[in-house]
Amino acid sequence: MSRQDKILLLILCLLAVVVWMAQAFFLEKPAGEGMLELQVSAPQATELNNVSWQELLAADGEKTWQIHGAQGILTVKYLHGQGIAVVESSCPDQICVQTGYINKAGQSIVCVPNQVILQLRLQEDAGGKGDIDAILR
Amino acid sequence: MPSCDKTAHRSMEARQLVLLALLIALSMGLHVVESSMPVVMPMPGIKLGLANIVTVICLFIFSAKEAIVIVILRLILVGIAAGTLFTPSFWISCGGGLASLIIMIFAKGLTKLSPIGISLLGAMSHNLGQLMVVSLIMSSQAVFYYLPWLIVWAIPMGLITGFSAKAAIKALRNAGVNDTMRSNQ
Repeated sequence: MSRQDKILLLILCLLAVVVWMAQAFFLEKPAGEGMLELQVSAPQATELNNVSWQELLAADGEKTWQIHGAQGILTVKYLHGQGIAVVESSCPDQICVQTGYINKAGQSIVCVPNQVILQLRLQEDAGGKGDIDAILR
Repeated sequence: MPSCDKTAHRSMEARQLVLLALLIALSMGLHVVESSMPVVMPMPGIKLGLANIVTVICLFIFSAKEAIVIVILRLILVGIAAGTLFTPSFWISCGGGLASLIIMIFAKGLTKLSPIGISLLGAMSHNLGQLMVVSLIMSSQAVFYYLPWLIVWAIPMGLITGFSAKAAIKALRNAGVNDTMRSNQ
């Protein structure tokens, strides 16, 4: 390894640490369960595309439902205290399933073959992004 | 003697052709090995970039021109062989392969980095290129959630491909393949 290589390696390591920390501190907001919202983008619109967290919380600690993806069906599960996970999917690589449970704002589960994204957001972010509530003079 | 020169030139061309063919075969092999490896990346379609080893070898043994040929042929041939041509996973591979190719060509031309440094940059741009294509396919920025993960992964992968490429380049040079084997000679 030349001197330039070592400098580059150091810069990349620093970059990795900075990006990782930036995400951990600014993007993943650990929020109370009541403050979250699940946003689902899928090729086919289903009634559960945008589930409010309250609905899930009210669902007796557990709820399983299905999302129609581009090439099959994904089974999504909410488990109280754990979060949201894809428990079954028709995709070949099963990476959405292996992602496991997500429970912080900013986290997401992505299934490329099925073109489905499950994203957890803060409700305020989801609702009034950029909206002005009031102007005081 | 001119005839002797011509023979030497021909044998050089033949050697170059054989080596290029071998490198394409090797890069296809690595590409396939990588897709059949147990899942280590957090996203479907995102690959570690083992085939970058060959791109780096090619940049140091030949030149940018041959590297471009090898990468494009590898992407198309693997697409045909794996039956993924023009599917999302093909475009993701293209994003990674071409992004790392462009960055590595510039890095090779502009800096004095060794194969290891070039590989590190290649791995980083490979992952970013793939992520950009995924984001385009899904038309969502949500996938950038995986960015830190991919940047962290690029470092060990870049080192692995870098050290492999360095060893291969050394072996090839020991075997009599010199680094002046370029297309215009």
